[in-house]
Amino acid sequence: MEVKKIKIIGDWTEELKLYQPNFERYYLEKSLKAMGDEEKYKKLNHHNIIHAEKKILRNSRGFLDPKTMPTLESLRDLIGLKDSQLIILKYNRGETNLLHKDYIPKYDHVEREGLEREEQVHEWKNTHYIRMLMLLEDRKPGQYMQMGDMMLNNWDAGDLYFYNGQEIYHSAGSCGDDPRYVMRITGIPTPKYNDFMSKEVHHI
Amino acid sequence: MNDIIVDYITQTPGDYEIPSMAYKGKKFRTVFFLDDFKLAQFVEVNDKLIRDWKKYDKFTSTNSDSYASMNLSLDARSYIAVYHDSESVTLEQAIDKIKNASF
Repeated sequence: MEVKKIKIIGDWTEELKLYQPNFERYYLEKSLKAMGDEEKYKKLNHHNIIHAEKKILRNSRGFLDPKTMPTLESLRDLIGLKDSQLIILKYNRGETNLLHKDYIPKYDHVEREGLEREEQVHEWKNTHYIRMLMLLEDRKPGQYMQMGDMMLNNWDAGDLYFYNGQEIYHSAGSCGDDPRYVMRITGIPTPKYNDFMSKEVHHI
Repeated sequence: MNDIIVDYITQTPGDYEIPSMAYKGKKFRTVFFLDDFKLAQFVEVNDKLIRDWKKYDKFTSTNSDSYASMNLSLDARSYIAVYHDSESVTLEQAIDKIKNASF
């Protein structure tokens, strides 16, 4: 099973309008300084380096506000990951995340105050974390995503995809008129999470 | 063959063509792929993904079809887009057009 799909049914249309791009990518510079090993850094950050050197636009990222986004925030409890991080990714026209594997850097942990996360770092990766993506709107023209051999140009709001992003290459981007919104969910598996994954449809 | 319009395009990582129905006044648009397909190189016509092409494969769409592309791979991809009114066009005709172009 390279990619598993689960359906989340709910209405978060109004909450999505409150998106703010308030989660910067400071972890890159911090990781470089801490790692002190240029070759290792380049290997782990290959696509990040290409993005930076070629000035290829990246998607923005934003925290969930649990007060104004209660429906989306409820996913945290529903999915049941430990030390979970839920952030919204927004791809405007021309913004991409080129082909890469996740390395989930040490310094990209803390989502907001009160949601500290446990660190188990090996080779500057948090190898015990898993990650999944939930599409927040129906697909619009010019929006793309790829996970392993699966290349998608068709999805519905609430489609949630799980795959091992540390093992298989993936990418996403948009060249259309409308922004592409995705929820990125990261955390440590628990028995509750295993129960969540055993069902094909969930309501929030 | 003077009635064709030829574009030679290289998409480096992150490059794209926005969803479009621009056919430059012609009936058809034929794309000649100049590299083998690589994962995350998106090409679509009327929401149908085109993938797994081989170098010199071609794909023709009509001016009622929308098309778009985006290169999310880490490799550049090149192709020739030919806009034409005749039913078919060859890569040789496209190359001749480029060779004889005046700038």
